[in-house]
Amino acid sequence: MAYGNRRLLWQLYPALLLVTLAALLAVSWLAGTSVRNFHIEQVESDLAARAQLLQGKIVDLLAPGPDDPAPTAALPYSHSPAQLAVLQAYSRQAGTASATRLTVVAPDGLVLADSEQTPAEMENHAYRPEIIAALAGGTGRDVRFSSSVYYDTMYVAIPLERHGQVIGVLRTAIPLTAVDEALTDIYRRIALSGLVIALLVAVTAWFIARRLSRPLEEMKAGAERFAAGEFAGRIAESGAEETAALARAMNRMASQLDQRLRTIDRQRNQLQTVFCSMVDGVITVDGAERVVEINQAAADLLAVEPDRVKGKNIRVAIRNSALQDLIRQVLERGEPVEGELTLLDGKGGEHFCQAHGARLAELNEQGPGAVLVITDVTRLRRLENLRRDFVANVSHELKTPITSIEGFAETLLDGALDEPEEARRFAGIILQQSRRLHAIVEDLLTLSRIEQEGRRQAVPLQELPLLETLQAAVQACSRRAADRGMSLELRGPARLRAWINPALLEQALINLVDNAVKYAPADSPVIIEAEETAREILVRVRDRGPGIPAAALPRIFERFYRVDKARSARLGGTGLGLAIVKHIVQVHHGRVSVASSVGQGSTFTIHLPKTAAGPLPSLNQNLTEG
Amino acid sequence: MSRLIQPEIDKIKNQTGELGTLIEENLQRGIKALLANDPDLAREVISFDREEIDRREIALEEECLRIMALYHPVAGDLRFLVTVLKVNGDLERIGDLAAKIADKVLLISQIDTEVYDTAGMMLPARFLAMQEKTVTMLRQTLEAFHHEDTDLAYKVCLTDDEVDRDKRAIREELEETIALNPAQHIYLAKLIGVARSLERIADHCTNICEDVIYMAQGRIVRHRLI
Repeated sequence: MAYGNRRLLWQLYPALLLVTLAALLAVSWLAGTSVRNFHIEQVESDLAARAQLLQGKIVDLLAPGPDDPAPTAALPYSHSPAQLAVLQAYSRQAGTASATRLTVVAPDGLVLADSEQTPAEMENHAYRPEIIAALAGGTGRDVRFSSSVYYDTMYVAIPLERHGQVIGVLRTAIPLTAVDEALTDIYRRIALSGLVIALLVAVTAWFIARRLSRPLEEMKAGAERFAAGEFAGRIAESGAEETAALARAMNRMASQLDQRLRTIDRQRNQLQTVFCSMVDGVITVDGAERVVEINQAAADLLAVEPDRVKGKNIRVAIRNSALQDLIRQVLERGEPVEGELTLLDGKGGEHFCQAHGARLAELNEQGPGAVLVITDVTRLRRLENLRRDFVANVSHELKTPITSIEGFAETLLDGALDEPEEARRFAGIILQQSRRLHAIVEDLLTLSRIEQEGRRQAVPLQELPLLETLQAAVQACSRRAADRGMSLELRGPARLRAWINPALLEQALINLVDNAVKYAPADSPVIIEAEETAREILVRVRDRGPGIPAAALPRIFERFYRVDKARSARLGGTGLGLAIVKHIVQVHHGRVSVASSVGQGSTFTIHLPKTAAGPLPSLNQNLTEG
Repeated sequence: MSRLIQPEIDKIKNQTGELGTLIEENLQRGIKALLANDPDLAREVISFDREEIDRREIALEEECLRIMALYHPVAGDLRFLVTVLKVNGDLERIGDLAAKIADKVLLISQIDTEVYDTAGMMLPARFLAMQEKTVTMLRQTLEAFHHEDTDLAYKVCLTDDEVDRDKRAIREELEETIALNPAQHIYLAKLIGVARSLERIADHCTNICEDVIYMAQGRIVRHRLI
């Protein structure tokens, strides 16, 4: 701050000093000149007055004595040496008394007497300007350097007249030392006061500089605040009109900046929110292949930490060669690219992703960058596979019995009809296969009905005693269980009530119990339990069957999925039983889970919500999911 | 000088990053081939290792030597380059081991399934855990190297013991199975080979991590208990 202040002071001071000194000089020169002129005039009139005073006496002394010859035209007057001696003595005396040099000059220029020098040694004065003027009848004056006193001297000469005739010239002279001394004195004082003034100017300049710089400093501080991004404070709009106007302009600029920055900030925040909450992964890189931004989705997909990879080169930060290649292509070609990526998450899991890359114009000083949008299509891919599998499965499942029926019917027609034994057996097979076909179609219809009703929410649910429904299911299966020597044990509190559709739930339970009866070894028990927990009502079906391998567990509720294809078909399953169970439970707003270990048996659990109005799970993917 | 060497160092960093990525991906492909019993993928892994990874390893080494000869790097830069040279060797070995796993997949696929019961050819559950651990270790190793993260490097060094334990457990388990069912020994011996490869990959990861610690701290922690 002090630095700036001094600079302004140093800018002001010389100019002010120069102007002041110039004025001072001009004034002193003018004053000096007028003083000198005045003084010279003064001296001149003084000298004239002295000359006038002495005139009479000198004329008397010059007057010719009685013995003197009358003046002639050629030599008007002649003076005797005695007379000249008297004159000389007088002029010496008078000159000393009046501190003036007196010179008496004859009309021909001959010096007759001089108060300071010997007249005889002096040259002819006829051509001195003042003498010429005096001889002409006026008062002559002149200032010039005197060789006798070595100083500027003022000469005043008056004519000496007697009886109207000029008989000589009286010249008074005084050196101008006095004037010059006085003037020197004046100049010294002026110089002294000049110094004082320079000091005064310095002080004034300092004050002016401070006055000028204070609002400027305030403005500078304000501008620095603005530059630092603080727009809250305003600069005081006071002081001179110019500074006030500047302050106003700066304040306006600040508020404009503030507004714009806010807008930019808001927009950036909006974009950032969009960017962060996007389901698709987005990565932007600059021209040097360094990661500029990466959103959470992309970081999750690529298994990296966003903060850690920002600013790092893509080849170091994101270890996926396909992705690196895509980005390189975008940067090199500058046109949008599209590609498929397989991202491995290190746990053996694979994510199928689609990536779209485009050039990002002038991202920073590194030139154009690239943006890559990664969409995880794993789910879509899986759904696609499921759909394809489903169509293939349906065709296959339907085709097998049809082929069988067709084959045996042809055999019958080809002659087997004539052999009653064979014909009966074949007809039996045809019947069996038709029933199987029927069962499959029936199950498919059931599935689609449940699905549609579930979607329309058209399945009526009532709060009913749960055990009754379980009882009905157990009864329906009891004959088959008895055939295999298995016991069905039903356990559970009788008071338990749940929001159910009895017909559908019974169907689901029949499917589960039927599976248990089919797969579990003979003479083993199947346990059906109902239980109430804090949030749900659980219905478990436990068997001591062969169990389900862990790899198959996630898929067993898919349509037509079979753990053991050969055995399932042999036991007369349609492959749709568990899918139906799943859909029925979904209609009840519940879910079904399974726990199993190979060789130990399996437990299927139906989870029913305690309250009636649970949110209906989305059913639009049911067709493909199972 | 340092102004000029920095871009070169960055280039080396990128090159190492790329090599690491390719090796990690190749290892994952190899493991996938093993899990899916996919001989085609295994062949791909082997040829990729031979053609691409080995070539890049040599290129990286030459580049390091070139920079050392031209710039006479000191302090951090020198440590970095020396570390890259060592890491490069370890990475290449990891690549070879991945190829070796793929080789085993090929051998397994050639086993006559008529003679040996396919149903029994299930990978032990511990195997999955070990693979997962090894791949994670490699990932973390590369991450520790790229970010000069010594904490992570120390962590990886500790994980190595777990992998060693896993390998021993798998080995014992498989040997037991062989004893019970000698008919499967051809298949199971290959699996023991895979386990050994994984364990050695983990060892190389540990080496790299020790080099990373050296690079960051200038302290040699090899052959020391940490």
